[in-house]
Amino acid sequence: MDKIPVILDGDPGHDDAIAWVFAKASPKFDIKAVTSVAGNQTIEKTTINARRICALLGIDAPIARGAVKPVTTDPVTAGNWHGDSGLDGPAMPEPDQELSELPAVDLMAKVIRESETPVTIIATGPQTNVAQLLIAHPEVKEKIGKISIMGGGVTHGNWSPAAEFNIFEDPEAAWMEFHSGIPLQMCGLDVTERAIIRPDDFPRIRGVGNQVADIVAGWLEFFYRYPMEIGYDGAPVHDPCAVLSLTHPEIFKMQDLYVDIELEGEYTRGETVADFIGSSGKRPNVTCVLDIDRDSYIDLLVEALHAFDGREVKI
Amino acid sequence: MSSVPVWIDTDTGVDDAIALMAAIALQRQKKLEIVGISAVCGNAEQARTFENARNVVNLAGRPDIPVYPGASKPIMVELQTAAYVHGEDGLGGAVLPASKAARETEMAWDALYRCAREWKGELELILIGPETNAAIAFQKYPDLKNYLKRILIMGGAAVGGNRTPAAEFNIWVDPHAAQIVFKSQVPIIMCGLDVTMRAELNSAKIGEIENCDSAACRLFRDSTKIARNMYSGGGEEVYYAHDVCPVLYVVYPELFSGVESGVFVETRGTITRGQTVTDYDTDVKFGVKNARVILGADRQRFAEILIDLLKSI
Repeated sequence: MDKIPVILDGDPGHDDAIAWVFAKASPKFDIKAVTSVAGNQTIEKTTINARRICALLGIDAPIARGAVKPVTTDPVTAGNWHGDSGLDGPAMPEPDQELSELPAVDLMAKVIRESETPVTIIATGPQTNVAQLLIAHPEVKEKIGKISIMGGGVTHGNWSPAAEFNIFEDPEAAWMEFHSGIPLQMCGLDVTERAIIRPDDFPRIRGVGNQVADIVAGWLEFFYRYPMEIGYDGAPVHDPCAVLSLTHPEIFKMQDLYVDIELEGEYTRGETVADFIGSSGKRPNVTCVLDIDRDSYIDLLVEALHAFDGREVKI
Repeated sequence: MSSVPVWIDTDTGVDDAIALMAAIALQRQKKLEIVGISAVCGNAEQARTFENARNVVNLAGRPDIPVYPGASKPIMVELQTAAYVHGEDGLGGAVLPASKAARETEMAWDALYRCAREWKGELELILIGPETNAAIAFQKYPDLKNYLKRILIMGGAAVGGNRTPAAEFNIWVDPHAAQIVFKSQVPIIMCGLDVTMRAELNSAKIGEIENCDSAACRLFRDSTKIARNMYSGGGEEVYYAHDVCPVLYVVYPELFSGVESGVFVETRGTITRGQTVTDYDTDVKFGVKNARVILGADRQRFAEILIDLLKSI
């Protein structure tokens, strides 16, 4: 089977990094580009993190720097989850390739234009780059096969009671994406807060015994600190769901729904509002991923990590 | 347990009428003491809901329970009714005998405040329509909050909506009034769609009610047709007696499960107007727990109790 060309767009970020572990390990994907976006940390930090992660994993696709800030508003960061660097924890290799000279939206457009088959975008940060791509290069829309995002939630939020961080950060970008007509798959908090990796899973992950596994275990140990303080029994490792729901849909529960983005609201700005009962009169525009078989999630992570057996880069 | 003094504010309404019948049946059993009923616009115009409420207390044999008139429009937005559920007359076409009840002229908010003071803080306020009358009462009488034991609401939803994807009808009709109530500092029990859609009457239960010839069962039979058609959508027959939930909660709290939460009403959203935003399942909290959000019910016992009440009157 031909590999699916994918663009990895994110704000790494521990869970973005683990999402990219899954993407690199999957035989189903051909990673064509990696793009950074401001979100969990500033664009400078997420970009250097993206380059380091690519060096660690051996992702040799071009890397481009993306949006500095949301489409219409000022950036907010999530340092309480990801630390000052945006990827605190184990030491990382230095970048092994220069940044693309193209800005992220132009690299994305180039990859999509040159691809023989429709490209899938996996967007695990604020949706700013995707929105800017749609604004700047509307002609490539038809060749985007699917956008798989981590963001939102059809029952609750985290950054506010109603909104999840990635969408809260740039609701206008999400609105453009959700109204674009492009097939959209959304892993919101509904599923990602069930994608919990618990401390008693960490030894099994480290036990895979290669360099990437060791660092992933270290990331998880760091990433669990904040959610532990606020009462989680493990780390909700959100972003890999956006990858796995493409490669292993069988371990998820999904439902097609009409989902719209609240742009105003005293309490609800950035909420992904899902129409469960058809009162909007609109046809579904999003495949909402709602639940995951957690045991399979851990098994698949261990399996993915073995793809890096024998790989060792200088740190 | 001595009878609990309650005030019922209603936009009568098919399920309101059933809830009033159930409440009056509970009063016969000396479990509730209905101090007053007030009418508000919502399911239908206020003039209609006022007459409907008067007719229902008369049908239940209690024309002596005072029914007060209330608000004819929401406090900031235009009224939009729900004829698609309740019919133009608010009672799904059911024809009731002319009421012998007096035609009170004291307004809902004045009467509520007067009675709340007389009951010295023991009165429980049950809101099964939009929150307009209650909001006016809180605006006019800032100390009303000291004279209400708690407020039980049929309205809102922690997840989803029915009037829009994000909002339940009663809160959607007058979101500003609802926000005033949720900020009133009186403890709130919120029976939203989360519980009312889980306390449905299935076709067997509906059949049991229709086979009984009590006044309440006849009212159910004659008034719920439009709503049942809509709810059933061509599938198996089902009816949601939304407004019954807070009434039964007063007497049978053990039937219900819920969680303490911060709850506030979205008044400014473009697609979330009237959403009851909760924080019980989120990382960032409102910092207050102003409501108990009811999330589940023992639907079997709920139905049994309701049916027994309707048969008894």
